[in-house]
Amino acid sequence: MTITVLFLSLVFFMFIGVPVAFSIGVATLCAMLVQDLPVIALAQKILTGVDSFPLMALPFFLFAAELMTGGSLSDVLLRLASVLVGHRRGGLGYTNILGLTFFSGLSGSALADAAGPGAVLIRMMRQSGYPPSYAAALTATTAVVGPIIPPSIIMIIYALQDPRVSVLGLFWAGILPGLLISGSLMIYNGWTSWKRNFRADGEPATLTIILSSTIKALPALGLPVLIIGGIHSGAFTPTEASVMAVAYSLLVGRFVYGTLTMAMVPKLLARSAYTTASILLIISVSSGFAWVLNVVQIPQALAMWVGTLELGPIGFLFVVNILLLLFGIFIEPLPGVLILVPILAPMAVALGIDPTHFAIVVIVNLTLGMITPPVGSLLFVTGMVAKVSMSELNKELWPMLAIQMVVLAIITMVPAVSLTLPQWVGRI
Amino acid sequence: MNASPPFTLKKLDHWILSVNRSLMITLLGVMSVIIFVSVSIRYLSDYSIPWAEEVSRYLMVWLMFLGIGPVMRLGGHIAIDTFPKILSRTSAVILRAIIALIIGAFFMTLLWVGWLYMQKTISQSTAVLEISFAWVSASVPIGFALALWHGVAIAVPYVKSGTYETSDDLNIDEVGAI
Repeated sequence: MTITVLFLSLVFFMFIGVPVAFSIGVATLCAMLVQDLPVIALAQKILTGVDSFPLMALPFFLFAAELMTGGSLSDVLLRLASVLVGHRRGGLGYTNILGLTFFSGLSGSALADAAGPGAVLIRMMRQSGYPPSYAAALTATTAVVGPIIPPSIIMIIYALQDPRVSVLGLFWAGILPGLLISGSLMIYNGWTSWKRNFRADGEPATLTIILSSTIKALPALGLPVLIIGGIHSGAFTPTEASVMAVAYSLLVGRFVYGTLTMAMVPKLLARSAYTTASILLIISVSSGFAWVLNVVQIPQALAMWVGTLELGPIGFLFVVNILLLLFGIFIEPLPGVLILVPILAPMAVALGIDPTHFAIVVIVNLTLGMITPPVGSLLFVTGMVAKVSMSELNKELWPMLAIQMVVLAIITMVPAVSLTLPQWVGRI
Repeated sequence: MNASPPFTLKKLDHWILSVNRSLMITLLGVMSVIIFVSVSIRYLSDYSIPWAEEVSRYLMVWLMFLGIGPVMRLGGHIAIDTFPKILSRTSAVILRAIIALIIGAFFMTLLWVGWLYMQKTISQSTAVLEISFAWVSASVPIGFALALWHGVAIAVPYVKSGTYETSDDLNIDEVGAI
């Protein structure tokens, strides 16, 4: 009864357009009344749900990404990418993919990739005569690597939902799947450029130019080393590494590249604070939701039930992927992880699936939900920058989306893609 | 432009929003500085600031509750608009009125239980600083009271036309796309 009320009211409120955070809150409230739980506990749960030191990496990584874009750390990375691959046919397409892949080693979110350097790339591609809808679709799809290649905000939040995985393990596990996504897009861009006769941009760069661009980009490229190296060596916790990323981007933007001024900082703080508050609220009410789920023993019951189905790990992963893709059409990765992981992760473990592999499958799948029409937040961002309609964008998008489905299938079927690196460095 | 009552109310609203926004900026700034200084000191000396983690956690809690209202003014709480989009103009106005009432009822409930929760925690104290936990839990009723204020401030244009205030503090299409 309680569980029916919880899920039906959640679906109903979200469907009629109540913001996701309030839908989760109201549904939880309804279920608590039915279950006769003291309502005051909701106030306590939503407070303690965000009273977490590991979660503090979220505002800091968001702030760091604002500082990097403000301090043009993204620009030097784009220039390096352009020097390396820009002279080929379809060069700006390659620059787009390579530049965003570099940047995803600095940023923790797809949003930061698409809205920061992604927007710059779309304008560059449009000016050079690429179809704007191709530029928008390519940027949205490439931005998916933002939360897959570390650092990653969604991985930090995932690790808080499932005690069987570690942030560091997930960070290592995301690298190869992220490169697989970028690589597949590189091949597709090559094929499209050949078929549609996209032009090449300029001459191959000389060794001197390559060297000088690399040297210029070194301070920016030092950041992922600082973050991953710092966490890996045990020098920093992920939260401490995120605040070091803030300090590093501030210093590099201010003193090395000189494009960041102190007058810009309050505005960048405000933008990060607003985004932080809106994301934290969803996390906060979701912890109330998860608490009610646990009171009525739902995850435990479902894990036992799925054990009796004899699906086998592959069958289960297949079902989960379909479920998440359907879910991801409407829901952002964040509520997806918060609502579904407490239910699905115990089932996966009961079937003998490696929790880190499962985490990567869930994260890649839900992140692809950000580029599945009709409601994909990345599509809105890039479509707006490119000034193209959703239907034009979708025409260019679907082959890329199809390729990403193949990549998702590979990541699902071959655990080694996710697990090789973390096992090699001994982190799972 | 006489100093009529609505004008005064507008001024008060403007003032509340700007104080609220400044507090959010300050909280995030102070959090960053506290953790940065605490990590730096730990590496430069044997000393570590014992209260750094606790204080910054509580600042983040305050940041979230203070942010509910200002984020809502800009339409920054992500929602699924597939269904509302297919409605006729009149039905959409009615639907938005219903949504506004649901959110209003939710805020009032949380204001009330938050107030009860705060009173219950006055006698509890925090682990490190040993101050009353009410300093933290007060963020719940205060946050939802402010959210109620901000909600009322934008309710009419929202219900009428589905529009929010605009500011480059937040791009509504970007929120949630983490």
